[in-house]
Amino acid sequence: MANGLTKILEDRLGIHLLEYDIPEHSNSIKYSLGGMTLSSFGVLIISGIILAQFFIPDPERANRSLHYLVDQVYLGWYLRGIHFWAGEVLTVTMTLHAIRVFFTASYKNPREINWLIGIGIMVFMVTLLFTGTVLKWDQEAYEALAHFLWVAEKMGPFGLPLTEAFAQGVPLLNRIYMAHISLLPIIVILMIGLHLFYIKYHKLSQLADATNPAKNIPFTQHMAYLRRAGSGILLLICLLALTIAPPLGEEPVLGLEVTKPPWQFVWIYALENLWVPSLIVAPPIIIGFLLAIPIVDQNKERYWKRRPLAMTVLAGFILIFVALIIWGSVTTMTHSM
Amino acid sequence: MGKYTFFITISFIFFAQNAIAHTGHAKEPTSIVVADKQSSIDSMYAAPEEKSDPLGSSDLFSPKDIFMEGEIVSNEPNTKTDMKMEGSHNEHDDSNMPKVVSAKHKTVETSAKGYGVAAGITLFAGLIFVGLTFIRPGER
Repeated sequence: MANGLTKILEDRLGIHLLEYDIPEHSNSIKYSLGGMTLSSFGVLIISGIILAQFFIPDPERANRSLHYLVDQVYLGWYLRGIHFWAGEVLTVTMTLHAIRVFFTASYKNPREINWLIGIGIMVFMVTLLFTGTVLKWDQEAYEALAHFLWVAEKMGPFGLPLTEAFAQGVPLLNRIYMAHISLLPIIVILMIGLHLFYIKYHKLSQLADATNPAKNIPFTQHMAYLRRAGSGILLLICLLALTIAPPLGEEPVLGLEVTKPPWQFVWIYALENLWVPSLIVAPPIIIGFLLAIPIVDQNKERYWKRRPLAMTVLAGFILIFVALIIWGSVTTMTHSM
Repeated sequence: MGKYTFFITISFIFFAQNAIAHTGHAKEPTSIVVADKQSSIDSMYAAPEEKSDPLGSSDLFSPKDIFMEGEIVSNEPNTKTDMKMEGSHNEHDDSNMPKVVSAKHKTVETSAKGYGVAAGITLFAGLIFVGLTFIRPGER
């Protein structure tokens, strides 16, 4: 009877369409990092919807509403911890996913467009991370916003829509909240849909060093693997939320610059120490560099040992970022905007 | 002929509609409404006066709500200057600088509200992961 019901559901829901073949190596951690990132994003959406019931996006009350949530609401601290740690885990898996795609040259013909979409998703995820940092409205949030507004101001008319002058009388925090809970997630979800569509359309890339065609498995097997990987990600997030509470300061003090940004943004803090306009030029240069990769790299070779230049660029990119993050974490501020 | 008939018909409908709208009576004199004088700094998003705010007397939006306890904070970030700042390159600048302590990660205390339930949820997530790892349904 159970089998009959399963068959009826499979027929009615069209599940048999998921039985298409994909390479067997997709059932490995390094080829499931995108799926793990998607799991974290799912956790972020669900926990974010619940968090939104308790958050007041008003400069006067935002910080206090979070303190109230954490201190007074039953399981409020756990909910906020899950949202925070899901964001942290997502950052790590997303970065590793991008590194894996570069390492295996999966951005090459015919998958260039999907690389560009992936970079777009990454940029919007970082924007979500930034807006989430601002929403807690403590000193770190205020300083992050001050830096952002400084950049927006320097961008002239292009930056105007991002400033308070664009909609006078409306607290910027309200607009950031709107972007964080609706505009950005909608864009990201649409782009993820497109990303998945092109993965299906172009199929998962074969192993670069494979001599024989890879053995195939049905996609449903990969889904089962992703389910296990996703549950592992959920467990990790829950464990972190149970043990380490995310930082939450008091209301900000105007005009001071005493905190450091979250580790994901510390590299730009270090660059800013060297040269303040880095804040303006570094992000577009990095994004432009990432977007240019599939256009500039027309070499058909995909095996990493036969791509010394690409591997040198990758290693240099990682080293510079890690060095900047470490330096930004230990150094004190020496600049002023 | 047809053109004149059309014009007269339209004119009749227009006047008849006007008469019906005013129930056939002469128009009443229009009352003169004097607009309240607005400040030049008023925003179109400014909150209405308290007396016209139906929720003005409710605790939800009053400064006495749970998130406004104690002092009333302004729209601008806190500008208190009676505290000393720590951990900044500006530390030497002014002894009257406000004190700002950077928020850090903290270990969750077991006395946190619902800690036992949170531990249970985590354990449940762990059981699901362990179960899927051992049984691996659909993976083979």
